[in-house]
Amino acid sequence: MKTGFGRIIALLKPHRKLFGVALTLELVNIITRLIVPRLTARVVNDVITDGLYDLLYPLCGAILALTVARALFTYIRACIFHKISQDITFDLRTGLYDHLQEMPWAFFDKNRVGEIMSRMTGDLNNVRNFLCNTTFSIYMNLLCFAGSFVFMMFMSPEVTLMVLVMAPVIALVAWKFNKKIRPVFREIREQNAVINTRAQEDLAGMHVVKAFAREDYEEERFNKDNRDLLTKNLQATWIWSSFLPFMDLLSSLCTPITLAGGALMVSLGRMDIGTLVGVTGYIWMLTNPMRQVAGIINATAQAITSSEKFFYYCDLGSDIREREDAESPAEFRGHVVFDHVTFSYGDKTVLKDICLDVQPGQTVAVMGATGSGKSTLVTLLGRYYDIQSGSLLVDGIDVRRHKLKPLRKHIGFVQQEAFLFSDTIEDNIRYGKPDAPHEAVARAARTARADEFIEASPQGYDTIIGERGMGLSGGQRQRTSIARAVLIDPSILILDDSTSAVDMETEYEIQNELKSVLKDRTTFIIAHRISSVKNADQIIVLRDGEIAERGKHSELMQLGGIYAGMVADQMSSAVKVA
Amino acid sequence: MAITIRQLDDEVIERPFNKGQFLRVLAYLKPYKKNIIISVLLMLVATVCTLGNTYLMSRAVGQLQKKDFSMVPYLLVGMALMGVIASLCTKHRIRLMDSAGRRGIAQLREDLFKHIQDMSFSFFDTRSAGKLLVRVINDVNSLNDLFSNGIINVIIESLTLVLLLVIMLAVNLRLTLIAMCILPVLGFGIFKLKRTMRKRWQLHSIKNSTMNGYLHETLTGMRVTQSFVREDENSETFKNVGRDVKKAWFSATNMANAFWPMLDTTGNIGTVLVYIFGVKFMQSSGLSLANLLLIIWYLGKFWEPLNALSDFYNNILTAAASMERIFEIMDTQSDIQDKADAQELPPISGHVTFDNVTFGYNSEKTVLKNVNFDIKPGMTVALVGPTGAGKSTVVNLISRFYDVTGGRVLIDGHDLRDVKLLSLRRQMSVMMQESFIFSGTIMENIRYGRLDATDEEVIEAAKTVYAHEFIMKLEKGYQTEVNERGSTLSQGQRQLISFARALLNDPKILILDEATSSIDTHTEMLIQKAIDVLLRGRTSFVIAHRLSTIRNADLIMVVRDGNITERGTHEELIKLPGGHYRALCEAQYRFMTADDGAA
Repeated sequence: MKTGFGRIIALLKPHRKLFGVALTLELVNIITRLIVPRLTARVVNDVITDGLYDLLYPLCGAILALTVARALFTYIRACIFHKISQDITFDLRTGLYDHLQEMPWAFFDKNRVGEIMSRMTGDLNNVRNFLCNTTFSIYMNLLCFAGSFVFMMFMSPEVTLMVLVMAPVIALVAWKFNKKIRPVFREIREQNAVINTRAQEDLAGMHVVKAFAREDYEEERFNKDNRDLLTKNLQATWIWSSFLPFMDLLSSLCTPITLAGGALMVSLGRMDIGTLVGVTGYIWMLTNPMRQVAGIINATAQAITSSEKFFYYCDLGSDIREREDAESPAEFRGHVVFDHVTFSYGDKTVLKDICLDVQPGQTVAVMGATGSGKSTLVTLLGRYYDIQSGSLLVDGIDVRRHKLKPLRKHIGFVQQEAFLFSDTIEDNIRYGKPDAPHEAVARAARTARADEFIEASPQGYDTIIGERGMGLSGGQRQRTSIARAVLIDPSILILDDSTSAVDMETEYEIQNELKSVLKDRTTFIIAHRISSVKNADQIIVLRDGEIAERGKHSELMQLGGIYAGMVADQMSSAVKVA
Repeated sequence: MAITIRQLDDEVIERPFNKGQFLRVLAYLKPYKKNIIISVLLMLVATVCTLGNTYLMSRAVGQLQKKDFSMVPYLLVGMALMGVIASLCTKHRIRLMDSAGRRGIAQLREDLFKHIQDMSFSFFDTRSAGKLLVRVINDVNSLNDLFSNGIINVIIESLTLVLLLVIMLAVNLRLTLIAMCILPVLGFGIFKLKRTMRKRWQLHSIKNSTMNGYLHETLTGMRVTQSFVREDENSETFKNVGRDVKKAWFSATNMANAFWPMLDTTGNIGTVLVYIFGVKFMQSSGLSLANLLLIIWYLGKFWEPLNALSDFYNNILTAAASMERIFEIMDTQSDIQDKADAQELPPISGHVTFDNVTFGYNSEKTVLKNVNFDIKPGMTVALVGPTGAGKSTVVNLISRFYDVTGGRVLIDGHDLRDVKLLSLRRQMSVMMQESFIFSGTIMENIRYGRLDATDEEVIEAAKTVYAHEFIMKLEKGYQTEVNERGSTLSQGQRQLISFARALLNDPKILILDEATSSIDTHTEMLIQKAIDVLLRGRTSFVIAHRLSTIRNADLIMVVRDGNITERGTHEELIKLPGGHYRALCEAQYRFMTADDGAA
């Protein structure tokens, strides 16, 4: 297993030719930067002091030519670095995205979206920054320091050594600065997140704030957070205002030091004035790398940590993979058999020894208390989790031997949380069948009793919904997501508590509609209302992961168990009028 | 196929400069006038020192050239001193100005937040929480730069430019004019290119947030994607958005990559020109080496102020958009405000009267028409009727979330518009369909109902509404951290917590907008029992779906098309032939028992 750093460097490998070109260009650049002060020195020495005026134009021409070449090379070099780093990040990002799309649901149960997002944005950006800027910075600063050191030594070893005394001081101060300011910056980031959450909650829960007349309290809390942020920001200001001007001072002090040394040398006749002017031109190149060291180390460390976090997700394997010899039935008819199925999630056994035979076209109702395993039971059908023992057959083939995508394509799964995308209603309904014509979409909407509110919306089917569009009520969302499942014309339809926010009357209509549209389709219904389950071919009642009761409505009523109790409860609130 | 994702119109990023708004923000810096004046003076000293430093250096080199060493030590010590002074001035200038700017901005943020708190529901109806959040956080942040550093920098940089020019012209007029040849190019380069660059960066950030939005959404909806087998299409879409981001990035960076080399080249052309003509002038008119070097070095200092000025210019355009959005909110007055002579509402008994009330959310559509009722203290009133008939509107008027457009709402004989809003709302509790949970402990969440309640009182309230049992089953009991998005709590549990919160508040009037969420039978029974406890001894308005709650109400009112069409007890209404309530009961019974021949 490679370390984070090794892996980042390995990313550059496919781009090594281009990378090499960029590094070579930069080398030339630095050489020209080293040569120009030499030429300037000659202008002062040869032309001005010694009066060799013929040299003026050639020297100036050379300076210009080098400058233009340098500009060109710098441009090309920068473009190459950006290109390489962007290409790598793009590949990493899309690679991880595709990988995540194959992850089982257990992964999404455990990992928060916000967490994954920050891996794919902030952390990935750290890696990009390293590839684009830090690698270049390391290379350039090294060459600058070494080059200017050599040139200055060549021009005047005495003066160079005097300046060099300052170098470790500058590096040390820069190092201390970095160490001091980083925790404060982190605190500022955290406090920003705090204030963000505070404001966000206040706005989202405004009806509660208003209902309890807690405006003052909210303001007080917000102001406190805001003042904390201010304090932390000022803390940072205090630190950097003590360090940055001081570091500038240290760098600028190098010039009088050089001049003092130079003056001494000139007075002793061991140095000429042009060389002295030339040497001052190198001071910045010599001291600046010192200031960068701390930042470079920091950025590198950050990139390594970030890359390790990023690669963690890339390395996670999916335990749900299509087998080599996976197959699909000749025809999906919707015959489902649970044969002694047991499923555990972590240490917890969620389903125990479930046996169930559902013939094509049958309707199965699953009932039970929260946490009894109802939702889990139906998610097993599309192999979103793998069972530990027993077997689950869909049309005679164990789901683990099914080709994954065809299997899922034949299951219309209306999930408990009616998740819709920020898109038009039309495209939301079309989600499982992007090429469906509008008529089919409208038909599906009609079946789900969604047509009425859609047509009443300002732009009808083209109304954009979701986060950035029109808000839908819970019932409207549920009906839209039922339409989405109906459109794909599934062999097996799963309704996981998908009409809970719809009133009883509409629910009743939807069920009748579904019955006619999806005749001969196998249907699983999870619901709490007796009215929506009592006509099912089989009703199973789960308790603690086991089937406690099963049968038709009338059979279960006779049994007088859990189901009959639920019926009695709910009947007590219904009132016979006539 | 929808391979590209819909570009949703993003907020305007730039706006023309608006002087009035600028001055309003500037007013936030007023308390720090002293800071600012001192900062300007400090910065002035620092600038003089920096320029002086270079001046002394050129003199030193000139002395050295003449082999005159008498003055050199003084000049060098002067340089060091100037360096020290500049550094100290800069340090204190940063501190003074930054604290002024940040304090001003913090105050602005607090004022904005307070203003939003004071807005009425009609304000929130038309704005999404997300967009408001952007105002409070991002828009305010984007002003920070401008007010902490931008304004003062612009003063100083302009001064620096003038100073530079004056000194250079004084030293050598002709050479300075020649050196100035590159100034238009430099100015054009900096202003024009930076402007374009800024725009391209903005485009990139838009594309980037589109990509992140898509990423976030598809990750959240991954379960839907997998069950509808949409992976390939989404992968393609994601690649396309990613490519857009890359393209926008290159378009911005290619320009940025060209920017510095171009400036560098322009600067060097200037230097070479000065050398060539300088050498000529040295021959012809006795220009000294010291002055030649001074002009060359000063020339190198030109781009910095120009750069800062162009940054300021760009900054101010971005800030103008933020300012506009901030002041759009600050200038929106809440349509529900205390009257100047509003009285504290004395402790009420809960007598609610609607006197010929008419209401519409806007002038086109009337939601309630001439509604009259009189509810005695302690009564439980159930509101029944189809969606959109006006049930919620009725209860919203009681807590004065909206003001009536005609007629009066009276509580214990006081017109709601004559009493102080807070004194009214403190005596009532409203529970909406969705129980909102704040991040914090369960204890804190319940205590939201009465901030000075002791732990014992909180627990007592939880026990009364049957929430204690499940809370104790949680790992940390009442100290369990919960939040709005976390799924630690089920819908039913959230509801019980918000019941406890309301009970703790001990309101005289209780409004219950009952949810029809999926709750299993056991929790539902607990909720039912909790509601019974809650209603005891208060005037309550219940928008209910469960017939059992409705049946026990003292008064049932059927709201249809903005009118109360039926009112009475269950027994009375059920006998009403052709009545809505009767039909409702019948339907429920039918769904329960109807046999579609399947069994």
